[in-house]
Amino acid sequence: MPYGKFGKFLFCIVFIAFLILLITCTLEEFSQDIKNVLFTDSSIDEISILFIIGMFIGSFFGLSGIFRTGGMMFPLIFVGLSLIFISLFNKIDITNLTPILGNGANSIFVEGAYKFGRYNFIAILFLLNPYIKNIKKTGFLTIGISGLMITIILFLLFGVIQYPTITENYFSLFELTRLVGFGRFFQRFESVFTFIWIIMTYIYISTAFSLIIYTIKKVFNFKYINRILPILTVLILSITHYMPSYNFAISIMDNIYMIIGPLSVIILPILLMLIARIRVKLGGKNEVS
Amino acid sequence: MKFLKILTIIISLSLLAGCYDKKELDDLAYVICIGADKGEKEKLKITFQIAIPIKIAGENAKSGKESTTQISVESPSLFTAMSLANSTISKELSIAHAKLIVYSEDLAKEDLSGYLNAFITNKDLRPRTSIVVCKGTAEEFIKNVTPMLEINPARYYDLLLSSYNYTGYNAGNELIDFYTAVSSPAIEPTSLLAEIDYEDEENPTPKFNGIAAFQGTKMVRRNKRKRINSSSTYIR
Repeated sequence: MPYGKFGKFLFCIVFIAFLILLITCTLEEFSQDIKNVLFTDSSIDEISILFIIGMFIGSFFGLSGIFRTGGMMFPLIFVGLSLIFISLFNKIDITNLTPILGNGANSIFVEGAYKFGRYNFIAILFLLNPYIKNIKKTGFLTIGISGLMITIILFLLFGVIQYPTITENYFSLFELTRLVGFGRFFQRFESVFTFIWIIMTYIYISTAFSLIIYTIKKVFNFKYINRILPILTVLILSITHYMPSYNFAISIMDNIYMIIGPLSVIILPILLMLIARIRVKLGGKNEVS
Repeated sequence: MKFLKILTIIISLSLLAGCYDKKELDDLAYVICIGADKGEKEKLKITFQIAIPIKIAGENAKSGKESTTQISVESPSLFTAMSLANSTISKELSIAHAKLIVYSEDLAKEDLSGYLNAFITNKDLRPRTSIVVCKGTAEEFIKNVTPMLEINPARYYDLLLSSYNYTGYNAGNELIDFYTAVSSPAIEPTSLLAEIDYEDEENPTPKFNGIAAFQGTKMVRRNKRKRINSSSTYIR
């Protein structure tokens, strides 16, 4: 990274703050959602502690362990989503997708532009570079598979339940899985979805937490990084518990995460890289860090 | 390191145990039909038709009215009604197997806006539960439903309401479709119009006699039985 120590430090601090915000908001939102759906008799604190323990264990064994979990779970997730898609296929009404462009191009591309922040997690590709042999190929493959999955799920959502109603559900895909049923004896398919959801959240927050550890190790040159794992875990637990409400977490996600997020974790590193490139071309100091 | 690995396994095992909030099947009372009427003292009068498992399977199996019982409570909402009903019966009510929601015509003509969300957001109730509007009161309708040719009342409702697959005098109508149509700017909801046929006084049978057309959440018109097919087409 030939953009100097300051650039590296700035990027890493911003990224750590972003990841902490991401984990705490996701945990708060997820704990509340899963309480409503699955653990109705448990408190939110118990649920978040359960997932923080999972996150701690996942990070303790490192990123490769989390990736292997993801690799093992991918076929199950794929089969689960395929079953949901197949069973709801006959309920898809293609006219629900019309009018094309809905409320107009302006509302989609201009008013909806800030929702680009939902894809902030793409920025982790910047940090995963040392772990992956061919980052370009893997990056495109990751974005391609994610894009395909999102397209299929959205097609299903809007095909089965039309636009104005689908926005009323605070948790649309779960509502959709409640519609699944093969005859009288194979129903309650939402348990499969809940399983997929829990595994994906575990992978999501564990990866984010491991990247915090990795970034801190890089910036501060820590040798025994695992020793600060408990401290960081407690810090994240405290911040999660400090969140006053579900709505607060959602508003943070909608305002700070969605608007400032892309600027700080996608545009900032690209700018730094551009500056570095110009500096190198102009023959300036080329620091390798 | 070894100690930490063992500790990790022990913690993981303790988390996998689960089942602390299990509910025995015998401890639940399964509601198969929910009726909503206008209440006299409260906003709503909710009727729960409950299956009697001992009368559905085994030596004591009997069809007709003996396989079910019902309980009615007045309350401002569905959830309050469930709590009230739970305080009077020995088992906990479960609406996970409810097959039918019946609204009285009076209530439907007034407005259903406050009485739909409770059903659609309840995680136990299936969104594919059928929905009908009945002439008279829902309580009376449920009381007089007499399953014939079928011992299991839940299966009776299932088969009865899926008869639109082979007859044009019935129409499929699920809660999710109704709810979707309510919030759609392009589609108005419809519901089956049911009534009890008292021709055979000993065995009154439910009859679907047309379609109730809604504007938003208010019922505005009845469509005759012979128009069910055309209604399904032109209303959509």
